Amino acid sequence: MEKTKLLIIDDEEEFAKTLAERLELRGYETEICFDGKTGLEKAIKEKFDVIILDLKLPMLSGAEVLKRIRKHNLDTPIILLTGYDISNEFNEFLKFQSVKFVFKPVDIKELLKKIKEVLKSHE
Amino acid sequence: MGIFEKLFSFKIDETGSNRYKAIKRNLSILMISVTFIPFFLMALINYFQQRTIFKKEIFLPLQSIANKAKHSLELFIHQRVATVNFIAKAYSYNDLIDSQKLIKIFKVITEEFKEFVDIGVLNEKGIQVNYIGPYNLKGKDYSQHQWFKEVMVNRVYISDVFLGYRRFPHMVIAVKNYLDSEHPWVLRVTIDTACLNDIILSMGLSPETDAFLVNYAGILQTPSKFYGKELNKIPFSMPPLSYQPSITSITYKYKKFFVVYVYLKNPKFVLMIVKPASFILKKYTILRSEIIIMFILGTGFILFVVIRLTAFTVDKIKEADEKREKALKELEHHQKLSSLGRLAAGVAHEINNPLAIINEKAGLIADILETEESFPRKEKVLSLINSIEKSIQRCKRITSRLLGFAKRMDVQIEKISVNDLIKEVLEFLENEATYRNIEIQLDLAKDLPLIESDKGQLQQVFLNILNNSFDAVDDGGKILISTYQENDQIAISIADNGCGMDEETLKHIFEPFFTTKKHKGTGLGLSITYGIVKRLGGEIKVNSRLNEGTTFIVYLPKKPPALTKELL
Repeated sequence: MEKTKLLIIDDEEEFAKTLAERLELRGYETEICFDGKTGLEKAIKEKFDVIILDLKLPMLSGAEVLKRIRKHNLDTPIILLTGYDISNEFNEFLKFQSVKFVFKPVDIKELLKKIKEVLKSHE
Repeated sequence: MGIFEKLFSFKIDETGSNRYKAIKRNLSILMISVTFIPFFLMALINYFQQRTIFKKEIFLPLQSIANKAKHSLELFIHQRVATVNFIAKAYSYNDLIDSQKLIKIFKVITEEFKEFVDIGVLNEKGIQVNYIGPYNLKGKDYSQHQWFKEVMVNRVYISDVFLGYRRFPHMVIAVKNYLDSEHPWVLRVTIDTACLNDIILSMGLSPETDAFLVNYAGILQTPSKFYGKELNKIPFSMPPLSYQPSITSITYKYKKFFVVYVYLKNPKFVLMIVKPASFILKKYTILRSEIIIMFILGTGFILFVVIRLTAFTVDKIKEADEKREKALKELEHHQKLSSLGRLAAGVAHEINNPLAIINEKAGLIADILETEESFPRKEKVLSLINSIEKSIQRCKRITSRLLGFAKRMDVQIEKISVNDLIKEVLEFLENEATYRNIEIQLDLAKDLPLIESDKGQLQQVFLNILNNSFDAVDDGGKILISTYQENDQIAISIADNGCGMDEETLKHIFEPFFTTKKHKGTGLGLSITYGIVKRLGGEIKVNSRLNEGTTFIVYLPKKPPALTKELL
């Protein structure tokens, strides 16, 4: 069975690397980008099953990345990572197809659950 | 504006209610002066003008009448003198000493002029050589009489009034004529002065007025109501000479009188019109007292209106000042909160990242260790990592609350039963309540209407308050929760019999980072609670007595305010 491919876009290196390692231990394949621009390019160029996207990114904000991915007609499910910075934009994000939230610091169980959910609804 | 500032700054270094009392006082004084002074001046002017007007009103007509009477009198005398002159010139001496002729002449005269009493002719020696009249005066010698001497010098003589033989008042007109250049003779008539009286009566004066003629020495020539019959002397001194009608006043037997008088030239009489001052003054006094009453009423009215108006206005000012102070304080508080909020948000943000890293690293350690085979103290190490993760969760809760406090949270409105909500929240605290023997009494209003609000946030509010109550009471303590309606709002009261708070503490409990729990609390609970309640359109009040207990009352509207709806 093919492994599920995850793209992690987050500017905190230590966080992203450790998270990736934990996910790999659970059977996922992961790739990491550390800024919005490279992340967007990678997302468009290569095929991923789920994108884990931090909202706070250099070069291009997470919000912009999300919008542009969808503009490219890519319907890859996206899980947004964020601190408890709740603002009115959130409702906007949820309007996009296949978008979910997970709050930092990440509860790994919750993240796994959301990944499964989002893959399921995507089929 | 300087004077106004002075007036207002006068003793207004005082604060509080004294300040407003002082303003009221100063404003009242100012307004009263401004309104009262012109009013007073007007009343004063009016008062004194009345006097003048009155005088004119009474006296001008009198003066006019006096003038007319003067002219009538002078004309009358002039005509009588002219008549006598005519006779003296038209007839010769010889004609006149003829009794028959004189009788005839006299008859004709008396047909025209009824006031002629007698007529006599005197020769140059003063002997009355002919006389027609009621008295027996033919042959009388007048050579030593004053009037004879006068007429010989002045050619015309008009006498004062005197009492004739029958005690009737008479006057004499005598004229001198010449037989030839050396021999004068005198024609003399007596006139009944009742005719003068008639002229005076014809002035048509009112009954309380007395009018009469006096000679220049003050002897009455016509009868006076007040001062007696002819030839009495008037009891006051003669007023100064004036051929135009003038006024003077006299006092007689303690009463005051006004006298309008005018001097006549021919005859040398003075016409006087006497009016008792009291009569005039009575009317004048009534008017004066009317003015005074109006003045008093007006002043009373001014005082009343000014004082009430000032009180009302200053009270409004005070209200407005107090409102403004309150608004400023709230704004200050709000601003403090928002800058603190921004600070808190910044901190929380910063902390979140390393926190996330710690979380992942610890998680990874646990992941790795789990796949390892058993080693001594594997369990212990795993449980230690578990503790780390739990602490991280706690940090997460703290930062989430910090950030939630900082920004507006998403509000989800639904219909809520407050009573049910309270019961749900209590479920969280059941265990602790049982364990610590804390008695929770519920007095929830039946038929409490549903409200539209955010369930999650209300839960937070009540949970927070109840947590505080639990912290405040000792084991075995009591908490009473009641719900009721008040003024179209829902009220939830949470009262405990715990340690209570003093006034100082009460002032600060809703401030962020203020806490009485030295190492446990974040100091944010109540400030967040306060923020939530305000955002949902409600109010939160607290009463407390040290060592007796505390009561929180939360008021919630039935519908959320429009602003909150905007946030959706």
